[in-house]
Amino acid sequence: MDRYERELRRSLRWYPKHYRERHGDEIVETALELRDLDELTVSKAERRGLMWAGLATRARERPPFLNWLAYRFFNIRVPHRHRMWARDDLMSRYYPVRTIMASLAFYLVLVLPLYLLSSPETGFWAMLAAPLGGALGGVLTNGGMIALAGGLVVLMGAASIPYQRRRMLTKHDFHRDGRPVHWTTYRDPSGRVWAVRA
Amino acid sequence: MALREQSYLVLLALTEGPRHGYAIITTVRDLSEGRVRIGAGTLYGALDRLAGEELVAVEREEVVNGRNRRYYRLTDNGHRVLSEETERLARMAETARARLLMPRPQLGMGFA
Repeated sequence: MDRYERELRRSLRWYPKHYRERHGDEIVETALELRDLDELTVSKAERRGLMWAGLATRARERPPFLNWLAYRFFNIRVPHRHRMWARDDLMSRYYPVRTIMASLAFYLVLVLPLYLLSSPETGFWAMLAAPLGGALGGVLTNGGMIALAGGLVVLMGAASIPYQRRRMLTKHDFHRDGRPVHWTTYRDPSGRVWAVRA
Repeated sequence: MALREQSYLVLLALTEGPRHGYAIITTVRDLSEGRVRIGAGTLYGALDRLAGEELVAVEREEVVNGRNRRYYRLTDNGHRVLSEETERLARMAETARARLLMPRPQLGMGFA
């Protein structure tokens, strides 16, 4: 692989991972055929074209906002045409970081306001915080309680990551290593149709 | 369906049979008399969009020099859309030509 091809492959990183796996060689092959004989480095125009095309592909492959919200916060499956985006997200080394950030965001945006806005005597506060504060012998201040609850949310989120990842891969019809699941059907002698996962 | 110029030229490049990426780019360049030069990234973005609208499809794959090469073809739907767009452009060109041939209004004609 010469310098020109290395630069091309570096430019491919603008594309989503599954797209690179499927079309990357084809794009590089075409760009190499277009290369002028005296060109030692990839032209700015070609690099720019690859960048914009890669970003446009990422935008196209990403699920709509509400689907993304449901996937990130409630582990709801994305529409089938976006499942490769989900696979890339689940297999990414940054999936744990994104999951923890989502748990923290959920806590800060939904749980914490309920806690802060409810009255100490009634509602959410009385239901949760007062008994816990009492059980801890009044050691923690309100700020401490909030930080403790936030820390527990992060820890629980982190602990559930391996299980969540496996579950979400299965939901999107992938094996644990990210390979797509293939279904084959057959009819048994009684006429019943069976679907077999492979 | 209105097409962008790049998309139109890519579809036109496929009218004579399936082509792979490099052949599509050089055909587009020839059809546009050297004016439209698209790179590999732009081409595959256009092919993805056109495939999403079912105007093009993958005809076959070959392994050349150890690399996968795909040939793309025009679908029936793509052929129909291309024909309609060509007719629309032809009508517009005809209208434009007729207007350009009309005598231009001279200044001062209203002051006899």
